[in-house]
Amino acid sequence: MQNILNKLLDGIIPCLETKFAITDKKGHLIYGGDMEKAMQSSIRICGAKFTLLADIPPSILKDFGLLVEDYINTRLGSKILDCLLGKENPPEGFPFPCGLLLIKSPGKLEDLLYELFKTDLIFSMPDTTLLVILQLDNLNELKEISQALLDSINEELCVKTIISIGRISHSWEEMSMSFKEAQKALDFAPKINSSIVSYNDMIFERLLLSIPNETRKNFVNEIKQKLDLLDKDTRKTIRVVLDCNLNMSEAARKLYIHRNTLMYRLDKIANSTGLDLRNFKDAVKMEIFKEIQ
Amino acid sequence: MASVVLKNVNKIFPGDVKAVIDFNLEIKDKEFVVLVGPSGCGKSTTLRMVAGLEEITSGEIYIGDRLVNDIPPKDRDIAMVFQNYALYPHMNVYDNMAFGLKLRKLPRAKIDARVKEAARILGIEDYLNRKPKALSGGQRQRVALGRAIVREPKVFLMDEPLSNLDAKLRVLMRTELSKLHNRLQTTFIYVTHDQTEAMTMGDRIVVMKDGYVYQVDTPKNIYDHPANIFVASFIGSPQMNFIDVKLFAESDKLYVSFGNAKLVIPDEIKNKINPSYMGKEVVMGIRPEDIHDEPALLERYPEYCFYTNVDVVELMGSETFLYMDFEGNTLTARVDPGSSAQPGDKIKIGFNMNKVHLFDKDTTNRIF
Ligand SMILES: Nc1ncnc2c1ncn2[C@@H]1O[C@H](COP(=O)(O)OP(=O)(O)O)[C@@H](O)[C@H]1O
Ligand SMILES: [Mg+2]
Repeated sequence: MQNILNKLLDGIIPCLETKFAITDKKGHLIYGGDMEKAMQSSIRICGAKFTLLADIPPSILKDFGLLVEDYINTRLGSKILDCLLGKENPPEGFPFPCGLLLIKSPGKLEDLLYELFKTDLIFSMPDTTLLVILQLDNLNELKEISQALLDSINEELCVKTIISIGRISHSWEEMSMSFKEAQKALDFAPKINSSIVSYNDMIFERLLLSIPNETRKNFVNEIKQKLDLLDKDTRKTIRVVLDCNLNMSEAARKLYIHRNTLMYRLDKIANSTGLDLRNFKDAVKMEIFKEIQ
Repeated sequence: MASVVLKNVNKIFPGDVKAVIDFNLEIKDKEFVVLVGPSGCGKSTTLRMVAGLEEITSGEIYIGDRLVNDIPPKDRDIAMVFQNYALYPHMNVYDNMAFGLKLRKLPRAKIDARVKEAARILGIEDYLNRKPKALSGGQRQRVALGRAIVREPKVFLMDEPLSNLDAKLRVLMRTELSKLHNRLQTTFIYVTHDQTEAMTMGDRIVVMKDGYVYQVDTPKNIYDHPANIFVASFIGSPQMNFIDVKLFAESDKLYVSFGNAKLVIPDEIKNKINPSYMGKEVVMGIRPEDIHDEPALLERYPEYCFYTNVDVVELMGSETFLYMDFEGNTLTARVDPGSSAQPGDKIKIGFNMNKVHLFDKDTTNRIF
């Protein structure tokens, strides 16, 4: 961060008479020199809180803070984007650990996102897609945010939206990788009928989608012929058992049948198709069939 | 506070998936209605159509007096509580609850008043400054409810809101939701696949299967007078017993026979049965608690009794389940824990014939 801020702020320093410094949440100096008896004010850079130190009266410190904040945010944002898109060679050092989201939605989401994250790192991409870069270092947190965000979009705008979650990055290389993966996952999303996707959680789906068409057709036909022997209720039984991760008690409860009845149905399926859901390999075959049919 | 009316509502998904078929229901203002049925029966789709999250294929939906078919969700005066209640991890409880209102540009003071009132109702005033990760599952669920309450909607829509909680907490939250409904005096539409949840919470229950409504009534009526075999089997645990029987008259009395058993039908029920069923096969249903093995009772009603073989005795503490076999029919009885029945015994049991249910074999509908 230090390096980048130095470069950025070099632009205005000559025009300013006030000396100042910036520290992060933990008190580490990220810009300027030691300012012992300076006044402090809180500023926001790319959605996170920082402290501005300057030796000026409190009455003008606030305004000065806004000025610095605005200057940094408008420039840092476009700098990060340019580096990410390869329009500019990234400087040494990475600003902060961050996660990114690609949000594809026909809705006007900018206000909602700004209200939510208070960051300028929200960029319009082609194809009604927004890129949001969030300062955080925890993938689970990013996933929770995505789920909550999808709920909010559903509640407030009700437009079909897909959120693709990129991994957490600590370097420019990681970030550019994360961005590319998120784009790929976004393209996959409609094929697996999912509203929230994450490239690294899609290994199975990606593998299946890479099977050549001909091979896929043959496999589907082979299983389909067997399953076509079954009635609609029984086919549904298979789907529910797979959805319940082969947890038979839960599947029985969901289907509203007794566990013994479920076992009986599975016997029937095994007898007529040769596929037994209680056999792991057979279950995998049916799961693959479910995914690619 | 509003009524909700669904008139001939249908939902067909691409690929001709008929998810909801000719759904008709009038929900009164302030009513707590529960949609229940096995997974895939169309509960969520119905709820999402009321919310406006899913377009309806045909039919009409009214909220209050207003036809809402073409009104976007945010203008429908509803609030939805989802199954996966997601909260923003980077915002505290207060901000999570206030967020929707901020987006709607409500004045700050109004937002504050609503959030505090909702927190008071839900008993989470002390947590307003906490981040979600410092909350228990039950507290998080309350915050999710709070997010809905602050909108002051006319109708609450809840889709299995308790299904992610553990069993104990689920039971507790059931009671809390019922209390919340009383306090808010607002219409609730609640979706669950759990019949116990439906029976304990709903003013009225809508039982669905395969996209169709099978019965709409109060929990008591649904339990005592299930309209068809599906509802009879879906509601109640352990499940109702079903036996194929023959109905016939003999010297002015009506009887059912199955195997070598012959039981008399009380006159009160007899008078309600259409004579065209005489001599026909029908399905008799009897709930486990209406099968008795107490000697004193059996002596009093000899014409309700017959012998069966006990397969399994399950001691449940305050009650005992007997699983019996009668000529190939499995019968489950819920009896007093003092019962002396043992596996392998041949015992005399009696059906409380005032509580039997009779269903048409072809239509599966109740015949009285
Ligand atoms: N978006 C969709 N596209 C196609 N079919 C769907 C869609 N959503 C639900 N369905 C189908 O509609 C039926 C009812 O689903 P749902 O309302 O979710 O059931 P429930 O909530 O009772 O479990 C199911 O057969 C389901 O597979
Ligand atoms: Mg559902």
